[in-house]
Amino acid sequence: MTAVLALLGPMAVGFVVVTALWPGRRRPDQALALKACLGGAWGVGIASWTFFLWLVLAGRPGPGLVVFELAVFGLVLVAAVVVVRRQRPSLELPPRPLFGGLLPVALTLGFAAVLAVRGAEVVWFNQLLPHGEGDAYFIWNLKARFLYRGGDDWRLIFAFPSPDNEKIPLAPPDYPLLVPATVARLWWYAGVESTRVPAVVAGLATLGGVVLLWAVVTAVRGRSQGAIAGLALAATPFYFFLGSAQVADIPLAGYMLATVGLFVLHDATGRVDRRWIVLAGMLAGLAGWTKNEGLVFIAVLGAARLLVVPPRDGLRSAVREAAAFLLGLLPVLGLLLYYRLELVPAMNYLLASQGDQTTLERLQDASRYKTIFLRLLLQVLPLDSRTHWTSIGWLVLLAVPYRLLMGRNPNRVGHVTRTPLLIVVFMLLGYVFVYATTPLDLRGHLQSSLHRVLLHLWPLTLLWFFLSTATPEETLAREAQPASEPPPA
Amino acid sequence: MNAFRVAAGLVLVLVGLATADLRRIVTLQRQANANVKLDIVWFEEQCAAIRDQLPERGAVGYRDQFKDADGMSRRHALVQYALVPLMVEWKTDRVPAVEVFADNRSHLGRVFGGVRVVRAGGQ
Repeated sequence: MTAVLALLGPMAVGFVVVTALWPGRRRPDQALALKACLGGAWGVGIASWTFFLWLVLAGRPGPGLVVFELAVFGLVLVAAVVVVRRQRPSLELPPRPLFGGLLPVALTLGFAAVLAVRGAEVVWFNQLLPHGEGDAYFIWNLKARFLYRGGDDWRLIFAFPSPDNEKIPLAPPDYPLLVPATVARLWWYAGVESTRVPAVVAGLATLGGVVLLWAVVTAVRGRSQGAIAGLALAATPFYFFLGSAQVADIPLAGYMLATVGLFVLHDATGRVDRRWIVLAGMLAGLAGWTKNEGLVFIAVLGAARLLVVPPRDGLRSAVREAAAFLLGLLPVLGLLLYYRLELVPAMNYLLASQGDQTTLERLQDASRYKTIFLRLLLQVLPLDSRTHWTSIGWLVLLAVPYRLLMGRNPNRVGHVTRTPLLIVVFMLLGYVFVYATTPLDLRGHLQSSLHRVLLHLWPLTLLWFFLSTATPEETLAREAQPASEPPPA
Repeated sequence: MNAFRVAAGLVLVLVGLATADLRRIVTLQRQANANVKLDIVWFEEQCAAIRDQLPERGAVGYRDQFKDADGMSRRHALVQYALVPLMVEWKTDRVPAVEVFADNRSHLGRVFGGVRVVRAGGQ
């Protein structure tokens, strides 16, 4: 019960924070699920942040942690309530009817049913693999055990030796701690180390990501499109397998989706209010606190907005947006910088092994790119039934006729879709660069990670696809138009 | 109306595909795990049995009688996971050490390896 409160309490505070930073109306409305997802993600992330901050300050978990967390979340709550009372709504999301016809109702019900089945399957997976899979016990749950069992020795997570050529890296010291700190914090509140805790955290992140995609697309493009987008992600078996495996890739994908979703909302509603950007900054910081790829994401997001905002809105607007983003990002990034600069003894093993000459030689080696792109092709297209990505390959193939049938979004939405598209492209290029320069055995590195890092981008890809594709209602209206025209005289 | 039919049909295809594929993965996983204990659970139990012979904190060594490098790497990781907050040092002569050996007393002991404590003088 204590652990449940320790999980739900910060999520509830997160909901109030999101409501305070919501430029639209604050009464319960169509954005309720969206606010709940964003608030939950904020709450879980910030709670791991406070737990880690307490470890740094006090040395070990203890009764003072409860007081500390109550003080932190209490202060945040007071600040959020003050903001709620002082700020006025400055914009309105497009109004949606409660039901809106048979199609959106049927699709939403179908989405809800599939989500329920997926929830049951996540529980089933976790019963099969109680400690998760692979990196879950080599990295994330291993670190959680050190944070929980280690007492004053929790800093041993920074003491693992660097990998050598005969051994895969075990819990690299520089890996961020959102997932381990969340699990260790809940174990501490529960008073017992249960395999259910990482399973619940993983399940929440997995299902929450699907609901978040549904909610963002629903807010911008309507109920039918939102439900189809949610179904597309729910139709990705490996997403659920990896989510149930208790690795940090799915939480990272969720934070990336939340951040980009807020930018999409900002762009789709006229860019008149930057409170969503402040919130996006916080969630981007939490992406960096989840995995190192989250730091790449923050850099890529900055580059993408630099290409989108100044040409469209001018330099002054871009500076204001960057300031709002940094306002949200800095509190999380501050602790992350302290973590990287003060606590982590060594550079990331991929970076530490780089040398000017060897890196240059690897970058100039065409065979490495051939290996990378071939493996990428096998992951994205269903050519090889043994690859993890096969089912998504089928979805990619289905997307082509789907887009041809439905057509493109009839509205001018380039200003909305450009950010998610650029981020997916830049992130892919970033991953190709990492693989091209990896000091590890290239094939082994690809084999062990490519399927996971592609899943970071899959929800963003679906977001872009369903923003830029016509909704069923728009397609129906387009087809109905010629019939309604008067016959030629 | 045609578009509605096509859209609804596509959604059904997606749902059907997803359900079928996930069921296949779960079925494969269940077949793989049928009557077989996961190695991680095996090492959790084996290490729990020797935990009181090891110091509460600090570092211990690691030995492995099996010769396969990949398997050795995985076994070391599983022993390390089970014995947190001890640091199970890879490639040192430190004693006491945890040794993974071919335990012929059981099938799983032969496959995954048994676990015992080695002290100074090889006892």
